[in-house]
Amino acid sequence: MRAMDIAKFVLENTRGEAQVNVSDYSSYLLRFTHNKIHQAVQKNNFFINVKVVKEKKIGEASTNVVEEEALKKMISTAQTIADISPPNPDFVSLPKPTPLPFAPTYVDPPSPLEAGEIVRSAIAEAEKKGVLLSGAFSATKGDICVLNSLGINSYGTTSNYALRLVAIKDDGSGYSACLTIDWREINPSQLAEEAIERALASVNPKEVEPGEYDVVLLPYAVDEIMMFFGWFGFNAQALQEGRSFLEGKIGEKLFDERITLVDDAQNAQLPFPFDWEGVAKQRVVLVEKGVAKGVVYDSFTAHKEGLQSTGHSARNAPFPSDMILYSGEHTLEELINTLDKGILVTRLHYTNIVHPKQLVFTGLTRDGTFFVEKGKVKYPLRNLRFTQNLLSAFSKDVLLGNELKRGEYSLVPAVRLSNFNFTGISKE
Amino acid sequence: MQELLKKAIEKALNEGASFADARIVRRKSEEVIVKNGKPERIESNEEAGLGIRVIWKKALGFAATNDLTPEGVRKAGEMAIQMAKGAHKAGHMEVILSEEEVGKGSFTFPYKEDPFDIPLPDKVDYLLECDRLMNVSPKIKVREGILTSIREEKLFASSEGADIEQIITVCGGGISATAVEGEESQQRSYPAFGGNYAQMGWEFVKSLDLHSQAEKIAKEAEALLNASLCPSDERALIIGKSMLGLQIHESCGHPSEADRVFGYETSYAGDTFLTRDKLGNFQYGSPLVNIVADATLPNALGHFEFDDEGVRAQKIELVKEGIFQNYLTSREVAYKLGIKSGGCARAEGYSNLPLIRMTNINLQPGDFSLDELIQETKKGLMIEEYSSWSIDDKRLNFQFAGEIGWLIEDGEIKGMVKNPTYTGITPQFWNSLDAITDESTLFLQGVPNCGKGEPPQAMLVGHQVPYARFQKVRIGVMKR
Repeated sequence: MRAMDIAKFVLENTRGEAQVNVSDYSSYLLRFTHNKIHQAVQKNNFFINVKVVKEKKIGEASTNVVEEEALKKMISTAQTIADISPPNPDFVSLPKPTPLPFAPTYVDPPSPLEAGEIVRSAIAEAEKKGVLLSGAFSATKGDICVLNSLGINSYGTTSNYALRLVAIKDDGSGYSACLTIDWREINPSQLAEEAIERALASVNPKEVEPGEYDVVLLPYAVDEIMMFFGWFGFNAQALQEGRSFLEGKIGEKLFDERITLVDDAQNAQLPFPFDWEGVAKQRVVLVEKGVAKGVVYDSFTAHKEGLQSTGHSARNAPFPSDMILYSGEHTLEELINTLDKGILVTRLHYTNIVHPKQLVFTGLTRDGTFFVEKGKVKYPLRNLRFTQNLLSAFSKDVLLGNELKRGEYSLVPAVRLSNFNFTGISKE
Repeated sequence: MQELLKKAIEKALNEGASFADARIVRRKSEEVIVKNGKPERIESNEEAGLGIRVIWKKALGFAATNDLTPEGVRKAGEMAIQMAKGAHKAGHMEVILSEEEVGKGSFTFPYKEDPFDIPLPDKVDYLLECDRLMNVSPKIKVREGILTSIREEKLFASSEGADIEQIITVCGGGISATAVEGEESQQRSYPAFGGNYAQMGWEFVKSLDLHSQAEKIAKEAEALLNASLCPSDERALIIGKSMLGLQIHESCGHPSEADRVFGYETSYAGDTFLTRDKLGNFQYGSPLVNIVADATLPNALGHFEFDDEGVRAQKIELVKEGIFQNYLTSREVAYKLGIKSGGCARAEGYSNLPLIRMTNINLQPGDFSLDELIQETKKGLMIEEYSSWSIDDKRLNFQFAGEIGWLIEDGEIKGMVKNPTYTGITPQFWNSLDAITDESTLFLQGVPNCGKGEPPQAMLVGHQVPYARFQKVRIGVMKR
């Protein structure tokens, strides 16, 4: 059965108000290190979920077994759970249909042999320069279908491809990555050159004393920071529960006036038109010229405030999955030129929140950290630990690069920040 | 089902594989979440499928499918070969597996009360009562409780003749309360951040006795709002329970994974400072430090009879009297090291390739009582439950935080502090250990979601820990 056929079967066999999610996806990944592939894995799977609502009592069940008997058992389990659950008085209704703003696009994946060629091309660049390359090429294509008993009927096919590289030369390392819905956009040789150049420049790193430094963060690092803004700020659940740094501050100028942040699926890093509930993703302005403007909603959090969902259900909570930080006017070179004594950061590693409401986070730099003096990159640095309040980092003196890059969570430029707090060095 | 495994393996061998092994995994789980007095999610999940691993011209390929028909598993066998061919063409690591005894047998791990027999309304009511007890103040903005039950049935066969069945049951849960006032928010959890889990039945949830601690943690969360900030200085640090479990997990467990030595995690989670030249001679910690990886520990989440390559569960000394002794290994890496596998190859579900994973990484107890440890501390900080964690890509520079800290002065606990953080460099930190508590203080932590690999896999691992004291630790590194 195809995803839509399964979804229709489940909905037709479910009594009362219900939502059905079906995804049918196949993916594979080639992973390599020291210029050789060490992992070649592939998987096919279905995810089938039904949510049953009976007088504000909700039950959910899921399976990956595509057989009528298993599907009926799943429906029966969800109905039983709904029967015996206490009601959730805050639940109003499943969402109603909205027209999808655009059609999703996808590209069929390369064969494993073609994917091997992509990896081979990247490794060839490393071999030419006497550098060791590690990384992964990943390919995913899926059919996604959401139906509900109120008329939601959202269906789309999506694809995403990524080549991520870490080049190693002695004690230096460099990172590069490309994420796309069309694998033909990946230029493995060019991407390898970027990582290799960074690795060669990183050999024989020095130390700087921890402390406050002005920084330029490449888009790889900025993208990871956006994830923290999304989870701990710009979603209605965090705001309604009092956990968001935005509590009582919507409408206030919290950020540098150069910051405009929107969630815009149509123009996002991997465009897809609807959310977990099948609701069309709307464009939501989160920050406009430094002023906090709003948050994203799913149907549950929206109905609590008498609003409609903005199409940002990530199943258990709303999340702005398509953030775009508007670019500025500076080239990367110009941003670096503004640093009198500063640090250029390629990528962040193992970041984690330390204080959610004050948005203090920690983590380390990785795969290309450089000391900059009087606007010029002087020498590579050992990785540094930072412990930084993100709100204060983005509140003033922010400069933005003029080129947007696709990340895991967002579309972002390079960013220049002041007084970034480095609290330790990575060394034995 | 054994027939399906054989079909997949036969198909791979017919396509030219020199070796194949396959797993069929059936997994069911039930999750009950209650939040702020209302059911947040009550859900039942079932998943089944087959994963097959092949070696073709010394290249490794793996494929997985949810289609458990003869045609589905045949296609999976074919696809695993295709993946190996893709790797072969692009240039691959030569894979040779260590010679091991061929595993056979059927094992059902014991429990007293089947968690799937406990009626769902009883579970909901249990959490609603926790919720009521945590509702001590309007400042408690988020009250949450979770109960999880898992049963996993795993069949394993290989072209070498392995034939293994294992059935595990996992149960556990936890509660948390978050207090909010102005720009301050503080969370307390019990029995640990995210809960605690064991290879047991409903009897484990009963033993947690969540009701007994619900009011206490909520009051602590509220009190933390106005507590002093953790001081910023160097002092003795006493850690126990999940805080010490996390410390071992991140700074001993992960760096001991031998695939990191060979660069298999370089581009993602990183490598390890425990390079091969350190094996058998590196002073990882003080002479009091003895750490084992024990897959034979009953009830712990990392307990099994055979790993996902069919290698028998073992108890391995990672650190003995402070010296680094052994890695966690799989058959592939064991061959490279010229040793037998340590039986640490584990995969999440049916759809993932087995990777080197922790089992139960445990710090052996010492001879102090907890009272003695505190009494003999002039100026210190004690943390029992973690809240935040970060460590570098060599597993050297770490920074961890706890939910609540207790200041110690002249051998007495003097009061709580909020946002207790500490930082250090792994070998320096473990070499500063000067006291460990005795067997009576052991805490068994179950981590249901240890992350590793691409695609990411979540693994069940355990840590059995006493309390330990470390000297001259830098604490208080948070800046607003």
